Amino acid sequence: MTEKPKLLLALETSCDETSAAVIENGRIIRSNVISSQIAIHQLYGGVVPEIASRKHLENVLEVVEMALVEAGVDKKDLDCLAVTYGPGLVGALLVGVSLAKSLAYALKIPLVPVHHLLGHMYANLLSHPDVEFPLICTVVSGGHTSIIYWEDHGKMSILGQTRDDAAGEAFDKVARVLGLGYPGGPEIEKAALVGAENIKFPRAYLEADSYDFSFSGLKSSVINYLHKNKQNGQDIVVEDVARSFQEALMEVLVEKTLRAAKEKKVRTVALAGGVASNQALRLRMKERLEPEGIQLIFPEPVLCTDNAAMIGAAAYYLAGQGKVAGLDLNAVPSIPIHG
Amino acid sequence: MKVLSIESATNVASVALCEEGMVQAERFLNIRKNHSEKLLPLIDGMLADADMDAEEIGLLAVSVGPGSFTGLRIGMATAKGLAYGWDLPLKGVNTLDAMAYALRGDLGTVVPLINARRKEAFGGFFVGGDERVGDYFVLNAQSIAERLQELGLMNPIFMGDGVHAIRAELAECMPEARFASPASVDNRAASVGLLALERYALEGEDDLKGLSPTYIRASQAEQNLKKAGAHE
Repeated sequence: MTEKPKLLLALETSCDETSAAVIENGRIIRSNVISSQIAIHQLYGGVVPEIASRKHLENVLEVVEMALVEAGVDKKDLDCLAVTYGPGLVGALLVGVSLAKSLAYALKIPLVPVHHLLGHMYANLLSHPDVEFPLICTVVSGGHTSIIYWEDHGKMSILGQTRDDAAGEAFDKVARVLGLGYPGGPEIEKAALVGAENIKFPRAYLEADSYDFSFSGLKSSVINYLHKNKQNGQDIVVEDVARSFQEALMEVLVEKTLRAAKEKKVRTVALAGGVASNQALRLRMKERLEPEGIQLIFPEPVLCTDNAAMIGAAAYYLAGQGKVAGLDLNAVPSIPIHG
Repeated sequence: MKVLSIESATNVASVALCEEGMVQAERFLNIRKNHSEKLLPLIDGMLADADMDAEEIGLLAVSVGPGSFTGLRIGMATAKGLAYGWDLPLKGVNTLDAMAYALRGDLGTVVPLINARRKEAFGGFFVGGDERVGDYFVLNAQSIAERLQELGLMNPIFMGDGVHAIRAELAECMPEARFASPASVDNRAASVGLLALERYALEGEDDLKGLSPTYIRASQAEQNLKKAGAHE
């Protein structure tokens, strides 16, 4: 199939959101239903894979039907299905992949497998349909931190990525040691708003020409700081720690993104992934990029979280490139990004 | 009415087409390969072999466990997608009930067992392969022997992949134990389909959206949370 789908149903079940969306002509979001499991996983202080898988299976058809009803679309009118096949929690992915495969088979329509990160990148095109390639796309989420040179549909290269913890993962872990709860990103951001940057945490730039990241050292140094102050009986101002941590993490993200944008001479930088909804990160990026004549774009908040609309947007172009799955499609928990 | 059934609760991936009282087609794999890659091709191949159009199918059936959590979810998600896409009713059947059905008519107590690891098995006691006595269980061989005695059940015949795991232990506790022949030891989709037809006629369909596997064991995290709560 090289024809682009007119009416596409997309599914996303890679972590703790069950989501289904109907996308028209790759751009118009007819519906984007997201059923979050956050409330359940909060009991455990993080996502429990087995429970996530169970909840996906209980919710997925309800979510699919809601997406169709909200879009005012009959399933028989769909001409394509799309599903996230990786990376993510394998048990969670398998629910979406198994259901999408059999539904596409029953409806006799093609199924497009989508890389989760590619979905996050395409969320930018839903929010900014007129943006022009090439772009530098910085993907920052709970599982990933990558700088990608995005030349065109189906053409991209990874300039750098994290060698240990993802940025979002560092947010979650630091939030936990600060007693700020789960998910950690929004909690740290909230605390940092009223905190001062008065603790110097390390910035890991790695080799001079590297676009890679490392956040585990930063995380450890926050833990050490808390430990040391506790032992010395000194007060810890949670808000200041949150602010100082966030600034340290953002600085490296912003500087490496800027360097990549300059090296590749792009006029636009796109932020993608859950952490892209962090207001402070957007502000810091803007402050550094705009004076260089580089425009910053990011998806609207609902498209920054895990959602099926972004999977559908990516699938629209993949379908046009003939990238259709066989009946033996499997979930892949870990796989490098590709377009 | 024709039923398309799916059995993926264990290492077995199996699909079948049945009509009242008869198996028309069945495909069966027990090669420890990923169910996600195999299940839909098995269905597609079987329908092609049987020259069967989806329009001729009236019911979807799926084995709901107990068994491998991942295998069960793949089977059930596949069944849900097909039922929803074809606008067909879905009937879930307990895996142990379906296994016992394969030995219906036996003169003793049919005991299907599914490997639950740690030398334990999920199981149930079915007099004549039909009427279940007592609750489903997760037990080791010794406890199974004791439970049989408590319930006054005689002449057990064991089947299922739990037999592979604890056959020696069962034989040691119960010298009188019988074991199903290798040809009928495994769980198969045909049993799921035939039993689903019976039950569908009596009880009607299941809730397509809400249907969930029978896990029996809570997830590790839930067990830990419960334990933590009990200690507080």
